[in-house]
Amino acid sequence: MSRFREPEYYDASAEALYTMLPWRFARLRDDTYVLTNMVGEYLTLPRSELESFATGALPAGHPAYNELKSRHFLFDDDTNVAIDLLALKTRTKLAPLANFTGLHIFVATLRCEHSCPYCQVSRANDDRTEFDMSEATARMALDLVFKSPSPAIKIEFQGGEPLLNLPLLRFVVSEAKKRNDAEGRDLAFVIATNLAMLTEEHLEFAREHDILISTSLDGPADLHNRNRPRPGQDSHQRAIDGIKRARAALGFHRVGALMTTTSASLTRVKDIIDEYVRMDFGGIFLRPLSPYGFAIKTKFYQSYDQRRWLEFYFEGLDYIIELNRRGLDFIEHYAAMVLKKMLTPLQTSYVDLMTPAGIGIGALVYNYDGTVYASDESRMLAEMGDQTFALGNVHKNSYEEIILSDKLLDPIEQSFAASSPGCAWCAFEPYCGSDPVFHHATQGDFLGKKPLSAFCTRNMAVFRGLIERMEADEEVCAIFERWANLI
Amino acid sequence: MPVNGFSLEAAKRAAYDLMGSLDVSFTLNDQTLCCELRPTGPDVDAAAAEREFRRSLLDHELRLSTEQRTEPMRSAILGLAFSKTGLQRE
Amino acid sequence: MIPLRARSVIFNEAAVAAGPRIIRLSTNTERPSPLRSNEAFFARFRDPWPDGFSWYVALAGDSAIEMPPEIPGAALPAEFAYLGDGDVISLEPSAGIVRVLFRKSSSYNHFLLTERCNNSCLMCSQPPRAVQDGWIVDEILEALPLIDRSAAEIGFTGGEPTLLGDRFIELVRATESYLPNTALHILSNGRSFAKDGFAALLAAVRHHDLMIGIPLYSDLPHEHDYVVQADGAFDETIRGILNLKQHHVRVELRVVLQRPTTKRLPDLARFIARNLLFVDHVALMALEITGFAKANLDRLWIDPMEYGRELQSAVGVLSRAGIRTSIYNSQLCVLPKDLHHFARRSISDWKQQYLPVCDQCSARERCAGFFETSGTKISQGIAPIIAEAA
Repeated sequence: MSRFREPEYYDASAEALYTMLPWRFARLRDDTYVLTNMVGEYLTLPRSELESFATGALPAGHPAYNELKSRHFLFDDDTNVAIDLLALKTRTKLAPLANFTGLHIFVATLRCEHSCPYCQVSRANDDRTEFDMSEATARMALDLVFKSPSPAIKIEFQGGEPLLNLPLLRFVVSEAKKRNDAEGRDLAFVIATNLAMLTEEHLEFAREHDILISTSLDGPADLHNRNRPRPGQDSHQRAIDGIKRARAALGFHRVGALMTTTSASLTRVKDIIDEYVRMDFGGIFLRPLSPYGFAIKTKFYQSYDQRRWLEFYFEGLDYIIELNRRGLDFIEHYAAMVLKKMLTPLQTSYVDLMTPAGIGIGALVYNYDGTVYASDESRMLAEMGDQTFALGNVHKNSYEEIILSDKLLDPIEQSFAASSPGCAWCAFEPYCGSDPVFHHATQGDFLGKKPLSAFCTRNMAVFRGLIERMEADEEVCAIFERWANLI
Repeated sequence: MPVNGFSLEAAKRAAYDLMGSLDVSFTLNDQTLCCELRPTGPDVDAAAAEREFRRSLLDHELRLSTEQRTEPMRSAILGLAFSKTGLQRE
Repeated sequence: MIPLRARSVIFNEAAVAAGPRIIRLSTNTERPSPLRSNEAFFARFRDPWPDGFSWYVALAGDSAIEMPPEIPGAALPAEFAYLGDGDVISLEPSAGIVRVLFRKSSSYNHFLLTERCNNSCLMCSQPPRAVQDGWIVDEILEALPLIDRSAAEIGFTGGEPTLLGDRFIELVRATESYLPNTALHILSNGRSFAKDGFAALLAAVRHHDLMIGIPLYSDLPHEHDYVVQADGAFDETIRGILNLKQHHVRVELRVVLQRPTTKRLPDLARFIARNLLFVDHVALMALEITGFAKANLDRLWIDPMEYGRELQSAVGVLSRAGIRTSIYNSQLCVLPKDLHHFARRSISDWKQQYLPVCDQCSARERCAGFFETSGTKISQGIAPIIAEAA
């Protein structure tokens, strides 16, 4: 008699009923459904198999059974470690919340020599300093920054055009570093600049303090200049020159670019991507249309815009996938952040894809006048006359008053996805976020009616689109896995 | 349309999910739940929307039963996850 | 093949009277006197014996070498000519036995801690025996202080080393004390660490460079349990891994590539990337045909050419997830080219060989070669890699 037992001896699944672990589903296309668990692991099944699984009738010998078992959708008498692993994975997804605010945006000045129609915040370019952040304000803001428990602190200078207030930048960097001597945080600085007036002095300053540069590049020259007018209509050329000079002075990887999507962009996605490829960027962030600044539109306009944007997005994504297939390593960053949530046990820190909402928890904005906003979009809303997300002022309010104010906690609580209608049963909730600022701006409440929400429509389409592409092609899975782990 | 065999909760969820194309009002007579479906606008295909509503009812019934069956697991997992964060004092 | 033990050693009367001894060899005629009294002088050449050593060891057949009869002496079979300065050996005069415990010139020094095990893997190269072998621990504790402190790494294997409980911890502590610059690699099924407190005890030693190598064969619990022939092993192993990592002990996962589990290799990789992302290393290992593997050959053997795609897929998933990955015991000619830089020369020198056909291979020096025990189970794809013309 053989002393070695056969596989069946160890396989108790045939006798016992299986136990389902928490899971949700959504229709993907036709008869194919996607199932997700609490931490975003997914698989696709035809409707009949889904029903079979849901009613406890899926046979142990069925090919789907082992896939469900491996991904922690079910367990049986063979094992009881699934709950420990799911708890660990849940904790991993939630753990970054405890670090609290990592991104601190300082609005150094509202002055700017560009006049981009989509910008909400800039004022005329003149030498008056009433729209500059003062050292006194910066000092109080830094007090609040270091109250955050986050081990990593990123201070990002925005504006207007922050380089127009170099003395303030110098002050903040120097003060922050001084305080960090005692704090020992991982401290980083970014300047969001149009680079149009970049001087050697600016570069020297950035080089000395390891500051990262983030600039705007909306696409090829005609599109970029149309989006971003300035005296001389040469924004694109100046941006390109600035990128080259900044790379040379600071290091290739210390310079990044972001695009803003306007209706003019919607037919030019390949041109925009080509511009980023030409400029040797490792990827592009195909950003959603922003509702701020354009007056809140009717539902019709929003849905029309969303459809066009989704066409724009998937045309761009498919083009980028093709570039990758042909050997170019190039990332689409919005997909990468979603894919990080889909394909890895880790979490993203992108404010718009966080739930509980990323306002305050992910980022805080300190305006030139000391007003503290819950996010960049909160500030844009304020510039349109809506102060709902103004949390206080560095000169008047303590950290506790700001962070614990109802102005912050109410929207976070009310928009929390796990307890929101629509989101609470949505299969894609593990990939999504809460955006109370967007819903307040477009629907008038923090929660929003999700089926009428452009945020929801857009994200669901993106999630479906990514899953469909992975289901269709293993090579795309490998490309997406690489993106998910790189960012 | 009478929706025999479906719970009010499933019907409410289906109504929520489809609010973009249907306004739904409910009447409960004895044991029968009645849903009145009205398209939200002239551009809505009423027949397709009703089919979608029926399908959504089925899906939500399934979701509700799954949620009920897996609720103890969900609590156990969340409880275990939060018990080890170190954020609670013992 | 390097023999590590023999039963045909010739001992003189003084040796028999002295009894068993664990001792370090010296070939240095200028060895300082205070050190000689605790060491054995090892002579391969016809030189006069230096004074003051406590033992003398020579190779048999060298009749010109006269050992001083009043000092314990041993004549080893000729195949032990590889021994050298700093090596540590165990001598048992009454049985004619020599066992080589440590070779200073080799990077493959492993100590078997016990033959007992609570798994019974289908392919086990060291089949478990239920014996009282606690004496092994004593022997290792005696040998550790003799081992050269410049040794880069030593290994603990078994059986299942952690079955020794407190004595296992004692051994790890002794290694840290006597070999503060030496890495320690321990092979274990990890199940003991599922017990409360054991991982903490190990972590409390604060070994400066410790890694536990733990086999994991499948993403499906019943498949893993089948391979290790133990119900519930998967659960305990996973819990053990989690406990070890919670206490910041480095963990390596070891996956043997064999017929029952190669099909789901990509699924296992995905499972590891999703659930065990924090492991420090994953080793994908071609089969060694010895021990139980011989008895189970029919259900285990699979030609590496047949699992090339699964291996590529699995390595892709793991490396994209940022997990350090290596391929062990695989010949380069049967590995897909894009996997070559994951392959390591992993087979211990004392059981490693090349085939005659390898003489023409340009990649021979980088290749792991074969286990001595490969026998007839060689891949159909073995062929020399001809370097491209410059």
